[in-house]
Amino acid sequence: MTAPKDIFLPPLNREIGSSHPINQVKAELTELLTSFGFSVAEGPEVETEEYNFDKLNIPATHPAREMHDTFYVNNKSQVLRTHTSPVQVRTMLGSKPPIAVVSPGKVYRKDDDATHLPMFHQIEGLYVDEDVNFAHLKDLIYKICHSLFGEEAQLRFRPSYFPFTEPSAEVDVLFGDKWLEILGCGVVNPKVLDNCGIDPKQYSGLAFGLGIERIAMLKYKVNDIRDFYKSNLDFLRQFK
Amino acid sequence: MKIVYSHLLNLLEQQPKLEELSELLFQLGHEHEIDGEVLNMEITPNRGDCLSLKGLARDLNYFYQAKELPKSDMEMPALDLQFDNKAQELCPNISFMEIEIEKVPTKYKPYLESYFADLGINKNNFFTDISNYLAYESGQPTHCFDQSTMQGHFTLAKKELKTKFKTLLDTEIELTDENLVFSLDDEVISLAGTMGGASTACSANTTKVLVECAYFQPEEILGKARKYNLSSEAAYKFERGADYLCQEDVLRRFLHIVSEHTEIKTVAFYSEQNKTTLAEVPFDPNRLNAVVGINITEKEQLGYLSALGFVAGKNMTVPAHRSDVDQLNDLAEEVTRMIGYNNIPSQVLALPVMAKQNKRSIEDQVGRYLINQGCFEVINNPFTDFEGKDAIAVDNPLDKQRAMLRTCLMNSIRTNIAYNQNRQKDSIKFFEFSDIYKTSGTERRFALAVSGRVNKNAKEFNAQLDYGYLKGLVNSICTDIIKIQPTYELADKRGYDFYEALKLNGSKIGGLGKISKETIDSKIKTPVFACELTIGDLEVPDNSFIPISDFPASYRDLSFSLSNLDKVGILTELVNTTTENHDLLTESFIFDFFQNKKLNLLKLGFRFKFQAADKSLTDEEIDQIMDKLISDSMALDGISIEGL
Repeated sequence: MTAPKDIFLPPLNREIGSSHPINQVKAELTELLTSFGFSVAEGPEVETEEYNFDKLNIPATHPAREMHDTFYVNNKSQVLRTHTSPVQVRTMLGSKPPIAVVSPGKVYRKDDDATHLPMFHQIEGLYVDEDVNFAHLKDLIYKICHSLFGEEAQLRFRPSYFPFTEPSAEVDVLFGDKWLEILGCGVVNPKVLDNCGIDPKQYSGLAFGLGIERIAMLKYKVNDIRDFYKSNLDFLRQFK
Repeated sequence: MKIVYSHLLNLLEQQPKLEELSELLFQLGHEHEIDGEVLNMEITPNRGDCLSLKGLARDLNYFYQAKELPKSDMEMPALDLQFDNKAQELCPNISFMEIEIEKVPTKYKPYLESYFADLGINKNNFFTDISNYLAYESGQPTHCFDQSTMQGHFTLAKKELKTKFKTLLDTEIELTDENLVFSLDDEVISLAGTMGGASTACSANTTKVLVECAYFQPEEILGKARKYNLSSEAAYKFERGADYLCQEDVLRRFLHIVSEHTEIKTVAFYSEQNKTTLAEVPFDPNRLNAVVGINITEKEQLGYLSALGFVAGKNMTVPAHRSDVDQLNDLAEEVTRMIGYNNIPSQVLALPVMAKQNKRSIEDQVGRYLINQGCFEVINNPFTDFEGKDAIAVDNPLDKQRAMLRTCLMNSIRTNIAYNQNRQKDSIKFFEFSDIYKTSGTERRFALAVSGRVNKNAKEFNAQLDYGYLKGLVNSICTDIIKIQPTYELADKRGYDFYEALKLNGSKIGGLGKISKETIDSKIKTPVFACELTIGDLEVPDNSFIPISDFPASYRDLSFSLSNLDKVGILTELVNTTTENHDLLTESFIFDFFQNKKLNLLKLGFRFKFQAADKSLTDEEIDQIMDKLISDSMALDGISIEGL
């Protein structure tokens, strides 16, 4: 049988585009966390010092509040949020436990070099209820890391320091023979609950935060964080 | 902070191997890298008490038993010091020790020698060398004044200053604003807690020294070294909180080290102690277990805490070096560190099921559509140089080019286009969703830009992305996703060759047009078409099912002749309105567009679909709608239908 002529016509390829790789990772993380039962909460990027620092137990004397770490705007009356934690503050002030929210978004620090950018993305989670403890936090972190890096992923919890959690931990995941820091977490500092109108005698909470660029760099093996923000089509085309 | 493994072992009764010690330091939260015998420690900012051999040994006490190093028990008569502490709030505890030695030693004991050799630190002079070593060993900074230079009224005070100050490292700085300083008469001799001055510094010949040992409030020291661009280990330690009761012990240790090296002629001691009460934290073993999610006995908890220097009583008394502990959760962290975070068993966490809002996001829907059309999403940072009077200024920008926050997305998109045009990219389709920031508030914006080839295939390679392509994308977003028919209005806009404002339900939400080439920093002449819309108030309506009609559909085609291009919009609006107003007219679209400039011909073909849910339509019913449309269109200036 003779093949019809149309069969030999050249295909009319039409390229599809892609969402930004950082937003892809953000969406994946958000989907993962919402599948655990978290809701998504968002908040403003231009924040008050009260929500960005004071209510999170970061005192006026804390180094993070110095001009070399934080961008101040509007004649120092506001800041560009340095983390997405103020969204958690707003959520706690506006609702009663049980609270289970994740807040993904852009954050700003006064840094600009090969490993730090003045703007980057975080996703943070907060769960406040009765009888929430550090052992629960570990379970959640295992679930998150195993979902992201596979069930065989080895984790290491290290004590750390964040003013808004106590106890606080950093979590490393073993890649080859190297431990890489993946996230920070902890039991919500009772002072923060109190600042946000939640009785720390009745309720406790857990919180965690991941740097989205860090996860994206690991996932896609991108070595230079600045590549994400050059808007180079050759770069963006690789994330279809 | 660098410490040497063997130096740390000198302060421990048990002698763990380096690997075991390293693992335990990680367990306790002291991250580090190992370089030979040197541990490069990253101590968390709340643990100023661990910035020394003694501090780390204290933290390891439960596991390896910390050793007390010998201190001098020499009798120290009172020092007749005319010292005026005018800043007791900022420096509540301060001690001085005056030592006179027979002669300056030429050789150091092995432990002191190895401090300099193993860490590659330069020696200075005898007393300063001991002071530096002692800061490494005990964590407490001390400062040595050459007693022969200490003539005048000696004060510590917070002063408003504008004066030059030469540090002991011979750098000259200008002190400005308020500073806590030691002075002799009016001369500043030391920037308290940060760095001493050259005029009273010890030298190789100093045989009589006045050693100062103090506790400064961290917030007073914070930022001073950075302000004056000084590298100060003392400031680093004071900023993170020092032991407020250690002064005499540290000075007795200082004296002991001196006595190991040379003969002491005289010694005298002066002390002011205003902060002496130890902090207390309410302690409840059950609540502590509840914070961590463990069930260990009170005895076990106390075993861990007492090894760290806490003293159990009605409340838990906090040792003077632990300024970071002020609540039960802090004690819980201490116990958890001792057990090891990795050794705490997980407890299954099941989040309560709560009602979720499953609103369809406009950004998801629009993004998905554009990606299918070959568009790539970009993310730009918000910093720019100037964006008009409504822009928010950054008070402490990275540089002049990033001193404001952007008030629109289009300038960033222009930069993205130029970046790629300059790199020979000939088909560019970008979009971005982002907040923009104005003094009047924040807005959520969407931007889209296209330039270059339509696609890379045999049919579309030579076709160029044009205004119609852009407008088609925007139109589809409005009609298919937001489900509102947009209207357009010609307008002037800076930075565009032509521009149409876009309205939804009568409200202007932005616009689209052809970007002026001179606003794009690229030599490529390919035109760029772009759109920016405010989308914060827009929602994707929920889909609701409309029963599908089993009755046949009828189609009508109509070809209009137009006198010029600006009639396209007018005619389209009429067709859209007619479609919206008649339930039986279920769909209408342009299926043909023909233009011949030479013959001055412009034709637009519309297809109309008619269908009813409950019956077959008659020709009369269809004609009634079509006739009205025809008569309405003929009434429009410059629009005709051939044969009518």
